[in-house]
Amino acid sequence: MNVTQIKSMSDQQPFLFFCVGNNHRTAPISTRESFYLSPDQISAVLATAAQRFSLRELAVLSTCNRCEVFGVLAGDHAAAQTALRDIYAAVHEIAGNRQAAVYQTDPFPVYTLTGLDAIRHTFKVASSLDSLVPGETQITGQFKDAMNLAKSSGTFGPMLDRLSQAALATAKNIRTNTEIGRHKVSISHAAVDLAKRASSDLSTLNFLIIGAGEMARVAAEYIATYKPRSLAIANRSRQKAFELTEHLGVGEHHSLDSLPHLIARADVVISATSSPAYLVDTAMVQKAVEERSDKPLFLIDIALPRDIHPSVADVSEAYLFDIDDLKSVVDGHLEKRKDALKQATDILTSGVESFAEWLTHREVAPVISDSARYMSDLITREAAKTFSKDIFANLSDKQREAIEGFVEAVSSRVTGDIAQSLKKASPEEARDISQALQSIFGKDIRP
Amino acid sequence: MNDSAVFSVVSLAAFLVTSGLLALGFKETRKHRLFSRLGYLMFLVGTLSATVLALKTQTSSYLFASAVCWATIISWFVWHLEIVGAFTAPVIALTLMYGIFFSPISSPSVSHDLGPAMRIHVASAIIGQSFAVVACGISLLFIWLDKKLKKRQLTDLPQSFPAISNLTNALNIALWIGFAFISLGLVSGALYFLVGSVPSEMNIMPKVIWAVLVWLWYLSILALKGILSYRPQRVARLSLIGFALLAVSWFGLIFVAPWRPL
Repeated sequence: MNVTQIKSMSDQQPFLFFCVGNNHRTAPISTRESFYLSPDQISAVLATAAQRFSLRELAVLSTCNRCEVFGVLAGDHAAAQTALRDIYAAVHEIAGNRQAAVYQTDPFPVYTLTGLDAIRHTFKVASSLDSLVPGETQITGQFKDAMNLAKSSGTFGPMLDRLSQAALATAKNIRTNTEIGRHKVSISHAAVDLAKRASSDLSTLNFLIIGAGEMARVAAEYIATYKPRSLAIANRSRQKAFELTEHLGVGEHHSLDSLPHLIARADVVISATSSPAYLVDTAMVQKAVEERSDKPLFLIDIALPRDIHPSVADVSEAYLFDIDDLKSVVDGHLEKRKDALKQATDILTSGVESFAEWLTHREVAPVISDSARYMSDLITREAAKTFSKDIFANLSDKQREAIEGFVEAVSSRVTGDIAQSLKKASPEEARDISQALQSIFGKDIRP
Repeated sequence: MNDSAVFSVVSLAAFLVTSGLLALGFKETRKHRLFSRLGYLMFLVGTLSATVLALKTQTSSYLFASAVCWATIISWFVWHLEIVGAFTAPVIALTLMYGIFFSPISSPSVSHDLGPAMRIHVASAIIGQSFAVVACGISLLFIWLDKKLKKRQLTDLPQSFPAISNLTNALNIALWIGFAFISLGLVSGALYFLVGSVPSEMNIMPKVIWAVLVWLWYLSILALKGILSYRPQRVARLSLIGFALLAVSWFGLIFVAPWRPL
């Protein structure tokens, strides 16, 4: 489908929520890495992509677990399915994401969701129920950031606003009313828990954290609770590393130049930077391993794009893990939170239903009022014609009122039945009913 | 059926059941955790029974089986390596089977009243060899864990599986304990032999060959580790291969040569 065809779809009524992308369930880290977009890239892409496809609203969420494009598009489901792949490809093309260009052939590794499926997915993402670590809080902030980026790029409209507000309200409801977020859960926590495979007693281990951002901070705080033998923070900006050690009250701060020496000293390395290039390579780890005693070296890379070169896994004394490997650690936690997850899913379903109800009502309200007005006009017009005839000349006021009352009751009943059908229907069915009304009455009853 | 026969049957049955339960209990489900707990309980029952049997009969195969039991229990309490029982239980069951079918109680090999020095020698040698079994079990766990971690197959690892550092430490200590005891056993045996108080009807050659082989096995692993800085992965592999060769030589001594080392 080309740009002109998509534009022509957008000119049509009605609109459709959509979501297209990939995540930790559908794509391995190597694929997700190639689709990652930085906030600067997203800012640069939004307005251009929305304009190119005449999209009403558009937002991009890119994290270590997903790169998804949310928005509002005109047209039906079937047409949108094809259009969405083009939109996703165009977003990466505009962003200058060359690696993603490799995937611009079939099978394109994305899922395309429209209508209620897209709405439900958005709710799941914002509530972190679609996260690698369900219940983690970081995604809510990332979701808000994605919407704010759309706002500042001028691609955020009333529909995405309402959708994001409803999704965030449901996320808050889940967090407040279930146990899902009570325990410390995040990718950073899972990474530290994975370190327990190195030693069951974390206080005997030397930790090195590369990075001083949010994920690194969460990991460092969690590690500090175990009172490790040593904790070193290495960051591109040494000042930030210093601030983090000051915040923790423990640990040493270093610049990235010290990495070879620090890795040789560490038992567990957790890397969480936003560096676009690898910071740790095989030669560095090989040399570090040779300097060490017979203690194992765990390297846990929770960054995306990754900080540690995948070939480090070939160093026999080093154990390398990335975000995808944390799934088993997370599954262990999920087993303990099964009930909370079920509760959270119930709240999410209820939130989605409320939103769908609002959406249907929003779409059908004008149709209902137009139908009522049409019926009322029809009655007034036909009544005037009818009562002007001679045979009704001798009607008393009471008889006339009784006939008018009967006709109005029938009219109200018909309008009420139409309203009920529209309210019960899904947005798509409501559109069909509206179109049917239009063709039956031949009047401008909007869909 | 006399007391010893009852204890030997109870011990053997307990360790056969333990082997099955601990193998089933390897998975991480509630049902399988129950199997593990039952397995550990049966292990304790078997250990008590085998110990009584060993003390009553003074037969070296039962003494060895009982020593492996206690070495396993020590590894539970000191290194939290309950899972090592999954390896040692079948070894104990095999040893008990050998004791029952090939080494009749009526012809015990160490029941002679040889005095405290000889008892120290026998005890040291048996403890040293039992730690060789435990070290082999730890090596097996280490190799499996190392493979799973390298291949990132973390879902296959039970939550309760010991950490790799814990296994490395336990393997080192088990090797050193075994080496110390087997050295003590060899030295005390040599001294006993030199003073010439070994009864003439005792054929000590198989024991000497077996003990020297085990001692050399320990020595070579520890030397390669200490001098050539062999990594834990290689130490574990050597430990496993060495133990397999020792087991073969043990069976060779039993069935090919007309001797019975235990």
